[in-house]
Amino acid sequence: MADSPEEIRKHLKVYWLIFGALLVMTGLTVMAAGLHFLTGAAAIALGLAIATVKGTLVGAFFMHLAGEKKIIYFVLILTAVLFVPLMLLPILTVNDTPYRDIAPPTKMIYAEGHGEGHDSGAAEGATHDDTESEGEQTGEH
Amino acid sequence: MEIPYSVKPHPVTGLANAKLGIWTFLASEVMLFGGFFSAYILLRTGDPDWPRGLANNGLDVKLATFNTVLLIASSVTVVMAWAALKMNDFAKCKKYLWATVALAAGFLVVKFFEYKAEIVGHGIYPSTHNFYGIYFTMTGLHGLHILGGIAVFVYFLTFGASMWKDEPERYSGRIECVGLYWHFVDIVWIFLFPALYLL
Repeated sequence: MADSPEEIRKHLKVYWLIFGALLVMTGLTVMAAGLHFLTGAAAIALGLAIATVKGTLVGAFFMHLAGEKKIIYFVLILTAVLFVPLMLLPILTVNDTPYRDIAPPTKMIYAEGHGEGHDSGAAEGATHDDTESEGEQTGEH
Repeated sequence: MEIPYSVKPHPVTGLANAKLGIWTFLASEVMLFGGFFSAYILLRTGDPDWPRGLANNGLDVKLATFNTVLLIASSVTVVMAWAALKMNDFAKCKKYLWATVALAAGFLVVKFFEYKAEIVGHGIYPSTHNFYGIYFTMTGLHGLHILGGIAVFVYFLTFGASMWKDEPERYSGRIECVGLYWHFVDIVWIFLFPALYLL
């Protein structure tokens, strides 16, 4: 990007605008969580979406990624390619539950009385969905 | 001997070496925090009793929101400090950098009182629940990054400031690099805040 004093002066306004946008989005994300108008997976998706937009604004404008050299994009794309599997690792750990020789979580034993069907119980416990319990909690409010 | 490509762009990368260096470091930082976020996902999805949603975990959302505003403001002051250098105004740059240090220190003070209220007030420890384990780990690691940033800012404002007289371009390059680090620390908080306090 051009770094002449005239160019920089133009950027200043943009920086303040981004500051305002970040503050508004911080307010939005707190309000959305406080009002409980979305629950479960939808609430998580909204919260992460707002955070992603905020992070993108910081990266694009404050870190000047909206006009960087190719090699930096290369480094970041490589990072992203490795970051995605890192986030998916927890999903992979669920795959082996049918083959695990362990008792289901204690809660499941109580719920099912005699703890019948170890396999299904363990799988249920491990993949317990956010949606279910969030629904229960917000119901109390 | 002069260090090559500390100001002039390297012919292969098109960048001064420090800038490629800080970006490579930030890439490794993404993976460091990524590991903890991955652990967070594993702990959360595997635990039916995970404290989900706002105000279900005893954490102070108001203080955390205030801290978010402090960090975002400090990101703005850093980029303003860099812009001031590019406009040859070192005095203004120093003001913005001191403001950044103040905002960062404010963040840590607020975090201290948060920890105090949780540990002393509510008797919450990392061992209380996996949620608090990952909460103290991630916010603690992030806090250490804030502390590191403050140290670097103070260095460039005191002992390192003479470089501005001798090699102004190299100095502004360094401020740009610490700025990039600081924005990264801000982005980490932008994701930590909803993950730990809101969702």
